Amino acid sequence: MASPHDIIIRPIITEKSNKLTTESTYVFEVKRDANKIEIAKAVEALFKVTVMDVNTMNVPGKLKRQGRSEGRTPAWKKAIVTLKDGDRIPLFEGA
Amino acid sequence: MGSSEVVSIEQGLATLRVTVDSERATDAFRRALREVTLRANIPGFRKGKAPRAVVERFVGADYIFENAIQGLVPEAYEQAMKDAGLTPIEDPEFEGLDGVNLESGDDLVFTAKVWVKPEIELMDYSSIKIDRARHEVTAEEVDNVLEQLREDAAEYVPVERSVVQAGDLVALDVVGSVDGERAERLSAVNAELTLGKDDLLPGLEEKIIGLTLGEPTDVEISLPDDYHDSELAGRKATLTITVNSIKEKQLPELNDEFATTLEGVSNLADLRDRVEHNLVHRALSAALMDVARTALGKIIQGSKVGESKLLVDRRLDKLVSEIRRKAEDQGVEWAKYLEMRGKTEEEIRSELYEKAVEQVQQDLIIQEVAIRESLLPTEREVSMTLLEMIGNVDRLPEAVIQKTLSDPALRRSAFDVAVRTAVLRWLGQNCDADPASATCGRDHSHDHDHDHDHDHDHGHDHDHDHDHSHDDEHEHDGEGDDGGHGHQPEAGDAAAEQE
Repeated sequence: MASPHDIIIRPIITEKSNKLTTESTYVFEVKRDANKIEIAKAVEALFKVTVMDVNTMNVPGKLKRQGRSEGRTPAWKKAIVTLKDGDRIPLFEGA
Repeated sequence: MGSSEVVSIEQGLATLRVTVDSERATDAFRRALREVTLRANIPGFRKGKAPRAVVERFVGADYIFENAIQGLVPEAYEQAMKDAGLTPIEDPEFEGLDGVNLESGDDLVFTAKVWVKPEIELMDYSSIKIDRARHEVTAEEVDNVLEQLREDAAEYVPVERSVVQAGDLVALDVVGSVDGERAERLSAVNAELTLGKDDLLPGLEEKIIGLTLGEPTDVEISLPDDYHDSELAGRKATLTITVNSIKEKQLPELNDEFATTLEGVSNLADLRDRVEHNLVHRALSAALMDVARTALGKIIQGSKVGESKLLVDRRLDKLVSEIRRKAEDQGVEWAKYLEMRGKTEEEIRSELYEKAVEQVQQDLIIQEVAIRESLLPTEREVSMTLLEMIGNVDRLPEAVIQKTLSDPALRRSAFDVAVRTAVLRWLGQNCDADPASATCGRDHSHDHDHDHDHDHDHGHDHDHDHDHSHDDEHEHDGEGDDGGHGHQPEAGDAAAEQE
């Protein structure tokens, strides 16, 4: 099995995700082929918290063009993880 | 608000302990945080919307702290200096600010170390009155100047004479030899030299006098022991000298015609008059300068100036570097110079110490007088003084002049010179026991084509030097001029006029 670090790629820290932290919900970019169960386990292992729910979505890459050449930014998977009430991930708080 | 106390002032270095109330400190921190947050462009957040934790990680907590300090410490420091009545002469150094938590609810206490202007107790100089030296310009003095003018206009003309006389301008071929070997260093082809100027080898001039045109003659001389070529020093040499041409000095006759060759002069009587007038002004400025110097000496004696290690050290640096530059200008390396003097740089410094202290005190007192009498020069006057200091302005490209004018170090020294000049002039006018007699007795209102005005405003003399390009004619200008210079009791001007 892949290590938790391989599954959780980075935290998504934005205004919107920051607002969600007040509801014990945190947003990550995750490995494209990870499923919700793997993500839940990885988050629990990495941050020593209890995961209540995981929602995922695939974010399609965006079309980008540079003059005549056309391209796409990579597609990725976003996971929105809800923790047990009161659990926190300090990574989102500047620590 | 906060409070402050002067912990100590040692040799001009003041230590202040400044306290800022906790409320103000916290407030400053919050304000800094808000400002930084609004300014920071953090990806994922609109400006000003990022939470504190994110901002702190993004810009660094130190950055916010620095911002808070900047709005807090200088202000508190300045207030503290004001309360203590101290004037800084350098930027302060702050201590005790590292790792302070501004939100802790404690008062912020820091230390400022700053070099301050020494305390000056200026004596009351309003009662200083000095008798000005009176000087009657004599006909002889006028004659001397006229003679000098003739000398300056002298020309060398070929003469029908085959024997060299003293004072001639001769062209010589010289073949020098030492012990039968030709010495190139002693040889020359068609070298022109003026006899009577003392710049020849000792004893050589006497031997050239009496030589005949076109006849090669052997002359024996002994080279001095300190001759610059050490190989030849102290040896005997034979010079074979051939005189190629003889020219005699011819002075122009002192008549109306000569007078009109000088700028702005109509005839000989006019010239005499102008020269005399100019001499009167010159004597007057010199006398006023003496008055000013004597007065300044008295003020310095009667006043008290606190110590300032910084100013003295700086002055010492300057004095030492001047000596050093002089030595190096003469081609002597600094290390070698020190060896010659048999001293270390430290020893020279300590010898100059008294002098440096004296100069610093003098400068401070001059400044103090300038402030009290509102004699501080304007920016424009500083520029003018600076141009005067460089001299020969017309020969420099505009860009160089601009650069010079904006050089802060040069401006500072020009400022010092301008202050000094202004104060000395002021003292000359105000410490003269009999100011009413300090005129040439003539009305100057009619005879000006220059932009000289005589209301003694500082700076018009500088215009003069700036506007005219005729350096060569300067002597004439000085004499032929109506003597407007003479009104300015400035040391530099007096020297320029001596030509």
